[in-house]
Amino acid sequence: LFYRKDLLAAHGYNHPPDSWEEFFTIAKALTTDANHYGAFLPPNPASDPVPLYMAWQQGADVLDLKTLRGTAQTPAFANAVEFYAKCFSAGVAPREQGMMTNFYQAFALGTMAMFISGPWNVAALRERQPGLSGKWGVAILPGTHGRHTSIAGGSALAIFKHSKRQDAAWALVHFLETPDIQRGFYHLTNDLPARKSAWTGPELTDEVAQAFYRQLQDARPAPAVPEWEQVAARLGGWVEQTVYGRTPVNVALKSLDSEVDALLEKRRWLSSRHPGGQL
Amino acid sequence: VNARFVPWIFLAPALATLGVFFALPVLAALVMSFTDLDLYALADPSSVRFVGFGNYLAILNSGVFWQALRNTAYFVALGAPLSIAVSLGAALMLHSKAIWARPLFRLGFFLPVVTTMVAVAVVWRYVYHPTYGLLNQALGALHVPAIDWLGSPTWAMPALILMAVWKNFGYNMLIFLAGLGAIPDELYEAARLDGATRRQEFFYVTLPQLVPTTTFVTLMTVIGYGQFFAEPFIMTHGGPLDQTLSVVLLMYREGFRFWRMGYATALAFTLFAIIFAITLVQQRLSKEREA
Repeated sequence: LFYRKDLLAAHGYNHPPDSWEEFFTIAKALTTDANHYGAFLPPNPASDPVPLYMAWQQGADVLDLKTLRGTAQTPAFANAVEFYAKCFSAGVAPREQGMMTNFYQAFALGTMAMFISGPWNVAALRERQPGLSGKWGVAILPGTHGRHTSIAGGSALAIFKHSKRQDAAWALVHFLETPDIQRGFYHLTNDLPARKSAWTGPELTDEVAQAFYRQLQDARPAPAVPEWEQVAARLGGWVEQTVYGRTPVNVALKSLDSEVDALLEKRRWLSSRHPGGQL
Repeated sequence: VNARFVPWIFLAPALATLGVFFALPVLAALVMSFTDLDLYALADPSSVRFVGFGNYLAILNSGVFWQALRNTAYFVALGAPLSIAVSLGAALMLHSKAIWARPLFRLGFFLPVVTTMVAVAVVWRYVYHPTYGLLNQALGALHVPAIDWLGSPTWAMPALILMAVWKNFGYNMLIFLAGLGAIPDELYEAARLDGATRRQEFFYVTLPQLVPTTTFVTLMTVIGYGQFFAEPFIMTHGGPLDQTLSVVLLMYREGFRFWRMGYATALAFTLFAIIFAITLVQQRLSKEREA
């Protein structure tokens, strides 16, 4: 969670929101007019499924990797989507975002005081809005039920099953994962180390990096199925329906489940063809 | 050489090219649309299944497809007549001898047609900007409250239609200009001798003489607008609320982003069938009018 320290302080909040309720309260206090909103959230959260993180924090999920079926029809998931839609219907996050031509400029202007994003925006913010230095901070994602779960993004390294040089590929993976090399990458590209043991260097002790370190302790990857992108697109589409109040949450989640079931039909068939085997 | 054989030799290069680059791919796509060819098939070709009309049934049962079809129909129903009317108006204006510097205007009206969509989209994004955009500034002077043209589910589609009409009308305008140029002056002379007003000249000489041109222009515009893709692909990504998602954009998403090739080819043939049916009806109607 990126937030404007100065704007929060001006309204008497000296710490970032710890829970979603607090996130909503602060966002509401900071929403002053049509050009100043408390929060920025995507109405269609396909590429950054915030409601899913909220569902994870309550022990729910969008699909079950064992049965390969949609599991969104739970009270916890409905809670998460309802809260997300409430942020828009209460007006603390704008549905129409055309005024944010330049995201970083909008953050500097105070068009939004909080947004949810990843470490790649740290370097971008520092570079593009140097004047904003010290006025913004990064905190762990708001949570519920004592959890602050977020998604572990980034990319994955893969080795082809039919490759003739699997040993060499493994050697490269091991090399890239040594703590020194990971810290070197952070230096060069601002990519945070994925390995916990690499978080020892002095450059990783600043407040912003430590926020991401805390987040990393409670982050989980997206479900490992090739259909994930499609599932996320459908999730985003149905959440958007509730954000605009076009579809009731329970109907949206029921439709989402049946679409996810259909999307995963092939995978269910494949796993029945190779029982117990790897796909 | 047998005389009946000779034409085939001359036709062979064209037929071969058409066969390899048109007939074969279309046939392959048709076969593909009855299978579930997808990402898994890239890794393991044996996982491809024949699903009969499964993809087509899935399309008819998909809410997103009907939304995309409604959007496409909206775009065609509003965009095509508007585009044809603007083209005809511009052509009439450029054809009249009262206008000064006609080649200059012709160039100006035709420039958007040859400009790349990406450049046009960048400029129009500024035009549609809710606070600094030209359009809202102008409307603001008339005390109309600011509209987020591309961010509003209601206004995003009209905004795309306006942009598409502006970008495309120059092409049809040229065809109309050619049509106007082909109308013999004697007809106007005769009409004037009979005491026809300018209005009557337009409705009883110009319009009837332009029927073949209009039929052609309408056909091509409906076919072109039915496949609209670049505008939402660049400007809105089909949003907000899927209100600018077109059938072709949906096809692109399913085929090239999600790699559901079977489903995407079935979508392509569904759209082809719809456009083909509309074209047939149009042709039948224009034939009846002639008869």
